[in-house]
Amino acid sequence: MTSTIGHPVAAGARGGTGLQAPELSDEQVGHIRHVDNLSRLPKGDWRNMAGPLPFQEDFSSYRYQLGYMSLAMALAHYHRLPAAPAVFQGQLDRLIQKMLDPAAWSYWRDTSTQGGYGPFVLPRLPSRTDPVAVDNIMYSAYLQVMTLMYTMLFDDRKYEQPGSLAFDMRPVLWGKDRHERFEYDQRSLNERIYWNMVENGYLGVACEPFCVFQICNQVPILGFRLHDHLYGGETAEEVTRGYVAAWERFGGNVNANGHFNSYVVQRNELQPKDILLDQDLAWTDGWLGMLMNMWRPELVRETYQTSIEKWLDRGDDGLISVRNLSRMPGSDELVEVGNLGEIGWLAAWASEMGDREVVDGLLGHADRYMNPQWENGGLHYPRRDDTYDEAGHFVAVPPIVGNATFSYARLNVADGLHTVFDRPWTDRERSRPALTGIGDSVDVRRAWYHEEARRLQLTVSPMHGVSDTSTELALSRVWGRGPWTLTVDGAVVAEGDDTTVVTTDGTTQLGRVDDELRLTLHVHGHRDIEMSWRAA
Amino acid sequence: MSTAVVPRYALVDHHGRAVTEQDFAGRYQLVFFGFTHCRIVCPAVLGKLSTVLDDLGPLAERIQPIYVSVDPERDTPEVMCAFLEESYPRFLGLTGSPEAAEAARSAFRVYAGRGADPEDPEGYAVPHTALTYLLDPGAAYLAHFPDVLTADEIAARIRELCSTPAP
Repeated sequence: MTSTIGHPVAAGARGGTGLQAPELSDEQVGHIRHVDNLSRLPKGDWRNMAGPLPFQEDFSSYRYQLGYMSLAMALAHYHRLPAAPAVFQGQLDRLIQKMLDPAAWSYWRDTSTQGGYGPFVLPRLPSRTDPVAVDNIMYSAYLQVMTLMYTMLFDDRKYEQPGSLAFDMRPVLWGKDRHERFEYDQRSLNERIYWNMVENGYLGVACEPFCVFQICNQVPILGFRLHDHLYGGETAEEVTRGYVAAWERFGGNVNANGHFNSYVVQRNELQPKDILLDQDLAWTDGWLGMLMNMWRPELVRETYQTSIEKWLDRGDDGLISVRNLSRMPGSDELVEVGNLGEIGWLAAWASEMGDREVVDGLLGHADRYMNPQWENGGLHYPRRDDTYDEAGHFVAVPPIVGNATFSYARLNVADGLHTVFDRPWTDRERSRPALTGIGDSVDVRRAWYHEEARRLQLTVSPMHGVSDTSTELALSRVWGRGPWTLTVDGAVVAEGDDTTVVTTDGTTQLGRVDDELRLTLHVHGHRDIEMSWRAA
Repeated sequence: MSTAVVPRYALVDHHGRAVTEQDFAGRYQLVFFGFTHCRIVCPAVLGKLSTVLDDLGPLAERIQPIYVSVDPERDTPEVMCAFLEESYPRFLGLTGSPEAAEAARSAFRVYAGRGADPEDPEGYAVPHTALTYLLDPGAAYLAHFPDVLTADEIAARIRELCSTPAP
């Protein structure tokens, strides 16, 4: 199999010889459908996303779920279904809108006041409402990347508009004259994060005040890279060079045991010196590894080789669970261990490393013991707060795992995020023939344009739980390429050129509508649609 | 990138004269922060910027190169004068009280810490941001250049940014 976009993917490939793009599994399309379902929930409806810890403090906070669902979908579009913007554009846009909902960011008015983290007593600070002005990289960077990724993938410039990223604090009981509003766009947000990074000597921007985590500071590095790509500059190179030097002052990014250093508590009026947290932690290894592979693949791969087995609990049946479970400091009375989502972070890291055996082992454990559920055509793993079931199997599913990181692991490819970082899309990819419209009851299993063969290859099926349906497909960027042939399941149904459309089977409904070729299709089982152009 | 930096300073130059950013109005200012005990970053950047100024030819006459200390306790005007006039004579050194130096650093959003210096157990090092700022003839922020840029790249950008006639 050869492809012109992303890495070739062997898993799921179906059919015979020649060009045959891989087809997504039931589980993979189920994850995409589930994220789409969540993105369509009305404002204030966070079903399946609420976790046990209040105040949006832990790793299942809405911002993290939205951020990692977005990254998972972006990876799926880039690597799995590059010719299907119809599946992803609206969904990723809706996730950005949810990120702007006060429920996702208003926690900052409280969290910004600090007071302590774990064993550290930290200064109390005045409350700040603006969630991206200073600190809080655990929110700002995700919004930064979500918007820049959206622009990179779809060339939709809506988040360049001034005020397109607005934070409105307008409780009705504050009265009509009292409110707070902070306006940004993706460029001014990027600038704000950049200067916070500079001002902190490139060590990183704090999440909660004084606490600089390596993990969350990988995200703005991706943001700077995308910003450089879209608007020019070399910010990512500047920041990564500075970042390496800054962490060298703490012994580097990896501790003496071969695990990633977690975070630094910066000096303050109550604490005269910076303190490095270099404890060996499964969640830190998994989460940091899945991200840092973007720009430090050698270090991350070396760390994976030396550390991954320490966290895996292998069963005789080939299934894999995890060890070293923990929870947020100070949350002992609220949650059980495992609530930080170690299994999901490690699965996502293994997927980025291309370690199929570990990914399959972890997801196999999830499928057997973690209650996978199909809901409205979507696949997810419902929240479960217990760490172990009665038989002793690990079963904890915080929402970040059930909604986001398992999806990420199942949809990512080897070096998936690294490749996005290295080769963001340009007009070349965005101008290829593609599926730009499809009905809600249909899943897209395959969507590739083979540039050398001049062939758009699609496979669709009814969503899970539906046996047959009909849908309209809209194909765009198909004109001006010369004479073409359209087949459905291998049979020619239409031919044409830049100005004509002729159906050849007498039954298929299709025609040109503005810049689109629209095709109505009955869908029962998997249906293959191919549009090919004669060699120029 | 612009409004985040509002470059203001009230310091003392290496001849002992009080100066602010307004004293150079009518000229561009090329501003770099560092400290004279710095062994790696400052010599490299000051050397690179000296090359840039050489390459700019007559345009360099319209630019005031400035080196601001992030270590005012050791970098007295006399120390700055000796350091710069020996190796980087194009630059004017600025220092001042710790409070004034801190205010200048903060205005430019420059990071400067203080840590142990493994090669000088009796002393200390001051890790700092290696950005170079270009101010316009009205002493407003115009651009900044990260350390990753080469001398040729910085010179090209300065030529482009200074292509409009001086007021």
